[in-house]
Amino acid sequence: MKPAPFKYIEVADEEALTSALADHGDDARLLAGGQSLVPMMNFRVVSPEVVIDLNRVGALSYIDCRDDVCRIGALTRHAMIEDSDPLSRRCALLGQAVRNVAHRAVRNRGTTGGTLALAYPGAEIPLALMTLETDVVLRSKRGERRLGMKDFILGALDTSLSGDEYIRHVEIRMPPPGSAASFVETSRRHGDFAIAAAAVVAARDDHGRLGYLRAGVAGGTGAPVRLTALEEALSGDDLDDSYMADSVHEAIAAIEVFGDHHYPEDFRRHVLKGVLQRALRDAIAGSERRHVQ
Amino acid sequence: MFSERIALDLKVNGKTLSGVAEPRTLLSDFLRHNLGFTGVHVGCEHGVCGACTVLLDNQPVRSCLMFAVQARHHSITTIEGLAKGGEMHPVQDAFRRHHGLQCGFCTPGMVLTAVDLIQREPDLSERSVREGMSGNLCRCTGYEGIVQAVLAAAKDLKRQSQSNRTEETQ
Repeated sequence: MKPAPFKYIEVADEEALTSALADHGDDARLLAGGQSLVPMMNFRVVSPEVVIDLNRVGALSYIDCRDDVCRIGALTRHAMIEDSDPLSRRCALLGQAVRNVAHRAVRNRGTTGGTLALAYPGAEIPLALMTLETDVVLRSKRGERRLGMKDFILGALDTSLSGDEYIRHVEIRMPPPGSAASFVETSRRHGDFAIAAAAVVAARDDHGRLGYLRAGVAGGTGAPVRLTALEEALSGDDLDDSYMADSVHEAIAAIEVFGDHHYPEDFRRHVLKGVLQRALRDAIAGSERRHVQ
Repeated sequence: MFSERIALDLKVNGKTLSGVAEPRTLLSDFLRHNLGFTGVHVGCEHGVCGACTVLLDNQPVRSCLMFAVQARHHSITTIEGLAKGGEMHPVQDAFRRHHGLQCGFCTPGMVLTAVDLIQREPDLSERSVREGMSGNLCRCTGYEGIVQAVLAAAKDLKRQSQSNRTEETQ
């Protein structure tokens, strides 16, 4: 339960970070919040030769909301998102998702960039970011590039990050004003990764119809999945419960779901349908209430 | 492999203390074994049990999920730093009165977590206490005493801050 020895490099700015990664990238791990990396090192699941600590790079820790876009720096702690007024006003989904991430002591350290780079299948923030429209901005000595979430997270624990790259920030397109969000997850204990989780944001247009709907699920799905066909099927006029149940059934039947010895595939699909239906009902009913107001 | 050792100055409970650590030395081990803060209890060593919780710049963190070298730029509070002038902190006192401990292994982490929880949410309900304390595991008490202690401490601290304010205005 103690990490293997490693060479420790602490960087103070992005320039030093880029060069450290260019020099050691393939042998190095980036240490941000350390809430997944350090346990994995304690268990010796990973034993990097070099650890590059970027906690002193203050320029990567910020929340900046302008017009309909919010930028979150990669080193932003989950607790900063939890406590952010502009974010909770404009993007309730993220605030709800972050409250499901472990416990406050972990959220005080864990970062946006860290959870994205790990890409754990049951992780909440990647699901919220996949469901909203989000770009991930990566940087290395070779330059900067921007990827949509779908091109960034490729599968369970698998991303497009190259050895010499780091995540700089994410850019989230905010849902329209008056939208309602619901994040529902099932886990064995409070604070655990989700067995299954669903994220939904809904808003009405001027005529009171469901003009904006975003829905996604995670847990047993490899990468979190945005369910665009379901969004299309449910947008527009309000639908009865059985149509919604059928659409949810079809949407979950259409995605790839992995089972394991704890949660076989059938069970996961069952729970995925349950959380998705609850999140849809909550968010759609919430958008109705907000529209009437 | 590497046997690099780094001289560290850490600010713990208001005092700057020196020691030597390898980069891989966990903050929990450094506080406990090198600096002698045996109130830092080391349980699961992967961030699940909460026993090693300390305050880093007044915010609770798992000290088993940080390397000691990373704490150089911060100030740390361990359970040893809570009592002032021989008087127990109100949260400690409430744990004693409400039997919020039996074996005491989880207690330092519980108390420090509660100190932060009460600061952030002065009007706690039983439900929010249970949620706020859910990252700290106790294998003895069944949590009843702990929940009662945190609720009582929140009330005590609120009363204290109100009476301080009244004194200031008088």
